[in-house]
Amino acid sequence: MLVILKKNTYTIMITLKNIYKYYDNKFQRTFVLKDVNLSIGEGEFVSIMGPSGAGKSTLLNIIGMLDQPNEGEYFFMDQPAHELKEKKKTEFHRNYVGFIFQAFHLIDEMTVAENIETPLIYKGVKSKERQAMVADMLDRFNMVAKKDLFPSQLSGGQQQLVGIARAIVGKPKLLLADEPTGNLHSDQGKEIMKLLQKLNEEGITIIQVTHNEEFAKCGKRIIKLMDGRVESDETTNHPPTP
Amino acid sequence: MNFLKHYIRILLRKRTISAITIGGYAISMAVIFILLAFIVNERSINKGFENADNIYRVIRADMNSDVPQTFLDDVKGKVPGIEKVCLYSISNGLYRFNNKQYMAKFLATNDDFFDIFSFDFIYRTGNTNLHSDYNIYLTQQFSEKLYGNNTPFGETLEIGQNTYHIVGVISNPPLHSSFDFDVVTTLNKSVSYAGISYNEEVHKMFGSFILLNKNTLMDNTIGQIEGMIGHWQAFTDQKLSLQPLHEVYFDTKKHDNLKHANVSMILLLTAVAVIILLMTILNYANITISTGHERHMEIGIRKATGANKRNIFMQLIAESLFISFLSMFLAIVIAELVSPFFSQVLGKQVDLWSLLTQPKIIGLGLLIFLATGFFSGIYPALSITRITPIQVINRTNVFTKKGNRGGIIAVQFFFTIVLITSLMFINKQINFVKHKDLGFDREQIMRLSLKGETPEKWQLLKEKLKTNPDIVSISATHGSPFAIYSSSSGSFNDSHGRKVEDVKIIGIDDDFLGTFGLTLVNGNNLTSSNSNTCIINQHLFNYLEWDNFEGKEVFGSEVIGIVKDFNHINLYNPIGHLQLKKLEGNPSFLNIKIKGDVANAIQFVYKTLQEVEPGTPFNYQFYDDWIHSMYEKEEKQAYAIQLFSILAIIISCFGLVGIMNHITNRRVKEIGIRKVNGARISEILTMLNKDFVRWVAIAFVIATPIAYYAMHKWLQNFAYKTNLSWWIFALAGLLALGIALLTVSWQSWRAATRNPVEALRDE
Repeated sequence: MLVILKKNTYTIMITLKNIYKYYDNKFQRTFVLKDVNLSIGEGEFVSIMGPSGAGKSTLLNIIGMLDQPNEGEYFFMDQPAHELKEKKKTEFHRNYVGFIFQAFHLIDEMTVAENIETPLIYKGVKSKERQAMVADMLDRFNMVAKKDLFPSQLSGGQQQLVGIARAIVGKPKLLLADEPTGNLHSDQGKEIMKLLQKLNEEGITIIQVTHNEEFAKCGKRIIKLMDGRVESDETTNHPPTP
Repeated sequence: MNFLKHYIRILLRKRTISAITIGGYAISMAVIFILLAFIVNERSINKGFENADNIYRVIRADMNSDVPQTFLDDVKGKVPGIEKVCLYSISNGLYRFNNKQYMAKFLATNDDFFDIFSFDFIYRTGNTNLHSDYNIYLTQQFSEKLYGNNTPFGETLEIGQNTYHIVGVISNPPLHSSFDFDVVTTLNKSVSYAGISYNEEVHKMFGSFILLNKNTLMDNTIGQIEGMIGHWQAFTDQKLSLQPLHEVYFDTKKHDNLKHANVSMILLLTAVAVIILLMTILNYANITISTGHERHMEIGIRKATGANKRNIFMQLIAESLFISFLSMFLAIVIAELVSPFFSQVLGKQVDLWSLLTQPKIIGLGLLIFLATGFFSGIYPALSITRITPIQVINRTNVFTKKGNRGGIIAVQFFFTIVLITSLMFINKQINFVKHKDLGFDREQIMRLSLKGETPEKWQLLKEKLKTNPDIVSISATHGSPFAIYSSSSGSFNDSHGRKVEDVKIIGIDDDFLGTFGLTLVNGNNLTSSNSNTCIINQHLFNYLEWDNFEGKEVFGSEVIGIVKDFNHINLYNPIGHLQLKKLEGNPSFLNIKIKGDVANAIQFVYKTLQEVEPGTPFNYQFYDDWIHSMYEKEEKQAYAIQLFSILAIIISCFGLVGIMNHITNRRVKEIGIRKVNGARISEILTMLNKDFVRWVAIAFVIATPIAYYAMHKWLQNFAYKTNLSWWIFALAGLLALGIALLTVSWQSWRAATRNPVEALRDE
């Protein structure tokens, strides 16, 4: 089995070996992922592309430890993630990973500031420190004036900004974005992509799933999935700005 | 505290469901508070006395709790460990004040009574005590009634034929105790003020209370007491035992003149309170789980952002505690508002505020609050913590298994069916007893109580009354049907050596049978000339297995006739042994059968009574009204139980609304698809309601035998039992089904008539 390391300059963060994911129906087994092997280094910006049903989201969920593979091994920072207990997984979610969703998934009853604060509460950050970190984020995304608004009072792009702020406020090493621009106008989408590029330059590893060819190219590496298999894996050194 | 803020926002956004949740919760809590107040109040009775834990009374194995007066000398100072002994009897009597006669409650006892029950002397003449027969104490409230705020210093009171000296005023008998009296007299005078002359030796029987030393063992003491009283012939075969004071209030079997609890009502209401509590918990769980999709989304997101199961669990428990906390305050307000109504229904003052001053009760209240909050949160918490972010992200339906709410629904219906069945049987039983033939004529018979000195002039009174054409017949009796004196009963050994126990005695004259429309099965009526004769009832005659009664005696009276059985005790006891004994001495009642104009006759009786004995109170009852009033008490009790049961059923409906809400929410899409494919509204309704029918059926199968058993047990309290008819069980099942369908149909109707396009539009 050939594992291709695209760039030796990255230290490896994620290693997937022979990952299978399938669902058993009464008479047949439906494969979502078939023998996926991947290595992703720290600081990479990976776009996962492919048609509907190719297994993109499933792969992202497995990497984010929201879902488990049926077979195969997954190492995160040299730890065997496929053997992690529930407790360790929570630790992982708290300290290493941030999620961005297509539907934003903000909590409706929370203000912008409170939404951003949520992960910090679970991480056990002290109140004063939390306020400072949230203020930092609001400042950075130019949302100070909107901090007391509720998600329903914001535009889609603004909601996704809050989603990103929430995902990175805990200073994760890895940012997982499932179609972050899927529910946005193209202008808003571009803004979000610019932001992701900037975050990547600051050192955060990003893996995004997208349908959008143009936005996929914003990443430094594009992995195409087809019927649960990796079809191609290309690296560009100079991704265009959207 | 942070997430409570968000929770409050959720509550505010979903106003309807929040109102149902909190409203239902608060109503059940209010009902529970009221029941708790009632039950706690009942249970606290007699516990307020300083020595409450060391006070006992001597009881016999039979219905009686009386001991002879000699008990005092037999036991006091002779049995170690007994510190104080008192005998007592409580009865009504007449006193004269400002030349008019009034009724008061008299307690006859000895000095130890004050020490045992820690009565305070508000005023006392020197060291005077009850040793003199003509000394009396008044209670504070009675003293105030007669003398206002003045101390009755040196005052006297005329009771019966004698003048008594008021030697002191004592504190009122506590409201929460078995005692209720106005005047305290000596034991020797217990008989005379009732205005009835008894055969003193037989009737000098009293209730007793003893104060034991803290370190004395009860079992040793009773043995020693039994040793001391061996010479009481009548009781040698009666097992004695000591009954702690706190049990006295709940022992309704003994004939004493103390206040007693309605034990079966307390038990039934406790059961209803427990059911309501369970319903509340189930309701909350159901409504919380069904509040819907957004909640599940939120939990999924929280998990993705780093919450672990414990965080989510704690959040949901905190939420349910919060709801329970909120509802508790609302409940206290509701309970306070409706407590006058319930006080009336329960026939007892339900005092919530006085409860709130007792630390123990506050503790219990807090415990109930915490437990309800916790247990209502635990089921939703456990099921919602299972939600994974992936389910939310993939928008898979979180609770896909179809029957996962079935169990809870069946439990709810189970309680509903048990309650409905019980309600109907209680009703049926009361109707049954109400229309039961008592075996004697109770229409238009007036029972005139002879008070003061009238008993001695009864013959004159009877003669005068007979002159009125509206009066058909008059019978003078000592005791009467449904009002036989507790002292008028006895036991003897028959010719086979068997003990014939609890033979009731009514003293009658020769007009008794005619007045009450009773028939003789055998023998003759009493005659005015023949003294020391009696008539016994069939029940006793059959029990004695005599071939004939000629030359036979009961309690030394010659038996000359057998009367057909009639119900002489009350509605709750079967017909027992009865001796109708020729009246000796003075009667306590005149039973006057009236024909025609009742109002005129009453006027006439009143005038005649005043002629014979001026100033005597006119105290009468009609048997039919009086017996009816006995049912009234029963009906009131049943009404209280019914009311609370109906409340419980309504509370369970709150839960059904919650469940249906959940089910229709979950099946919105399915309903949409079915409608797009041509399903009719009626078909959708059938589909949604079908499950409920099944659950009601399951609940019915489980509930019926249990309700049957419960009712069978309950009916044991009655001598005359209604049938446990099958149709009541069936009807209860149908009613439960009706309630279920009514409650769920408005929701399923809404779901079924919704535009399918709305349901199928994805986001």
